Amino acid sequence: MALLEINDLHTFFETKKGTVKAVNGVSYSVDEGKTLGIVGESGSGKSVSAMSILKLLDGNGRIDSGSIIFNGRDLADVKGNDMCKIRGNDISVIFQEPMTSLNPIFTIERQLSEPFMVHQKMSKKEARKQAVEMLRSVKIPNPESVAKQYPHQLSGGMRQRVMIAMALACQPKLLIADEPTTALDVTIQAQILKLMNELKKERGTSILFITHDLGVINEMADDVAVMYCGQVVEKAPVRTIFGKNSYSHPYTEGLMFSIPRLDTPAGVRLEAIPGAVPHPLDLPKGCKFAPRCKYATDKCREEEPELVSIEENHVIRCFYPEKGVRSDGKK
Amino acid sequence: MLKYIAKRILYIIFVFFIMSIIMFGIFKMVPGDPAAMAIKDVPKTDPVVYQQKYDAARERLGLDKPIPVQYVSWITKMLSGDFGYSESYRNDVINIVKEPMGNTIFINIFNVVAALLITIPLGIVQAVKKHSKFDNVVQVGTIVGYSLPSFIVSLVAIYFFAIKLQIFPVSGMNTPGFSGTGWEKFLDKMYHFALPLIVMTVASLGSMTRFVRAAMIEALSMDYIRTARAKGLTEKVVIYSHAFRNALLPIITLIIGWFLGIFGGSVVIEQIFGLNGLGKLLYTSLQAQDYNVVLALNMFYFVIAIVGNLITDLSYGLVDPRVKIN
Repeated sequence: MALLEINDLHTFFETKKGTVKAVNGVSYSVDEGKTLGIVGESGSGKSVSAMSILKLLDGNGRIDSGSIIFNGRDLADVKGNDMCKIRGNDISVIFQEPMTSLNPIFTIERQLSEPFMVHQKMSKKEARKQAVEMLRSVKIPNPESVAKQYPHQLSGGMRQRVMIAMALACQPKLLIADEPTTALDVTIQAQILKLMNELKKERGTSILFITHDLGVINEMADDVAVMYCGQVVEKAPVRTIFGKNSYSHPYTEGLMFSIPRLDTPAGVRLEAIPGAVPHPLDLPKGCKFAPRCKYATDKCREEEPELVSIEENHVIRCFYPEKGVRSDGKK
Repeated sequence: MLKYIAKRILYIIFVFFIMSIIMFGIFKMVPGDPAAMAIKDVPKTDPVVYQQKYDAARERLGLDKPIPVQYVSWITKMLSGDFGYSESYRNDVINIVKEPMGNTIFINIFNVVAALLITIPLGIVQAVKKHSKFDNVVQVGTIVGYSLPSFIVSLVAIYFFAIKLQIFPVSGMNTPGFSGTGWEKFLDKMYHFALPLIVMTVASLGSMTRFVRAAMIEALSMDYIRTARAKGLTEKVVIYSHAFRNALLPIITLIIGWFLGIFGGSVVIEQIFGLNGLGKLLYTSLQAQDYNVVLALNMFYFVIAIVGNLITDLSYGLVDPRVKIN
């Protein structure tokens, strides 16, 4: 049973130069107690699609069409203060930048007790006690003294733990993690991921995990959606994506090849996807990935492929989803 | 913290003495003869009598002694609360400063409070509705208000409100021959202060509104604002608690500066509206070469400025936990 189901979501940003279609017909779903990983380059619309759920878009952004069904309710229609009741309560977010995501002039305790006071109507005293408990549950040493501190007195990893504590305060059903480990160094990254997995098991929280790091996806996700230019190009269980299988989107394949591996012999060049993500106001005709795809044919440059179901739970947006039969382009 | 304050106070005392020497020296170097000004009523028909009176005045004013001796006697008196005698007003400086200072502080407090009550909410609303029609109109308005000199605003206001519409008096502090007391006297005073107050407030709106707007836009664009929204806080709490507290950091110096500025009279406004304030007192005392008044006022402003500096620095530590005071 899907907890969150996004159908044909379009999120647009009005700019002076035109409408940027940041999310252009995206559908994905998150099952209860599961983690959906969303992968893609910067500008692929992965964060915007997730921020659309809670309507945490910048001023000029709006949901143009599509539905966001959460627990049987369409969040695309929810407005103003009703949205505030969902944010931080049923659905909460961990952001990428722990250094700047906490308010510098309030104590940890004050910031962490806010969700309790807003959603559970606790008194200040109770909320502060709960805040300390939350700090303890994200394994912060000396939670009582940390609670009295200000964000600048904590390290990046500590602050991200505080963010996680804040996000999990009201036992949300869904946690949106928007590149939560990108700004952290690798050892801290591993600790945070481990913590998130433990908390997920303990509390049964579903997670929407956004990242550009396939290694992190492998560790965290049950299912994966790969996004490119505001569209989902491939969706499959994590085992299918990372395992040996005969179908994949060329973009996913490219992403896989561009992961540095320890067993690559010295001197061998790392394969990268050529070119850059096209400008959102100047998208190519046909398949959005065609200009960078080494398998692209004239058909790819003319027509846009639909998402095709290849096998159970596996969809690909490509005319040539089977790895073996792809031409080497130039056709 | 206490150590820091003690250190700063020691430093203030040191700077105070240096400044007092410099100021005293400057006033000694200014051309003009205070003794001659003091006896300007004495007819010069009889040179001998005049010379006698002149020498007597010099002795009375202590001008016959060497300058360092004059300085020491001046500063000792100052520190004991005796600011000297004003030759042009024929009264002790402390007595003639009292009333203008009261008027200046009175009008300035109203001005500062009114201006803050208008500019802060206005700047916040502008920032929240950035680039809306309302914002654009106010932006133009503040630029105009910011650029117009206060004497032009004063004259335009006098023309419309005092001459054309005749709502307020043209100038003065109270109705001539007014004999009411208590509440009535206060109302009469306010009636006369209304126009200069409006002008001063209007003149001070521009800059602060723009500062508040800029600081709020900056604060609202921060990541922690998104975090606050993601927590489920209402827009009101996000704006007034999370964003405004941060926006306050860059403008707190300005606000404190305003409050310290309540002691400084405006020469232009007080002159135009005929108000008996510190600005006007300073101006007329300078004209009369009444250096005791001018020196006392200058030292007063200097102390306000240097103590204000300390208060501003301390306030940073109070509002921003990242600033460590020591």
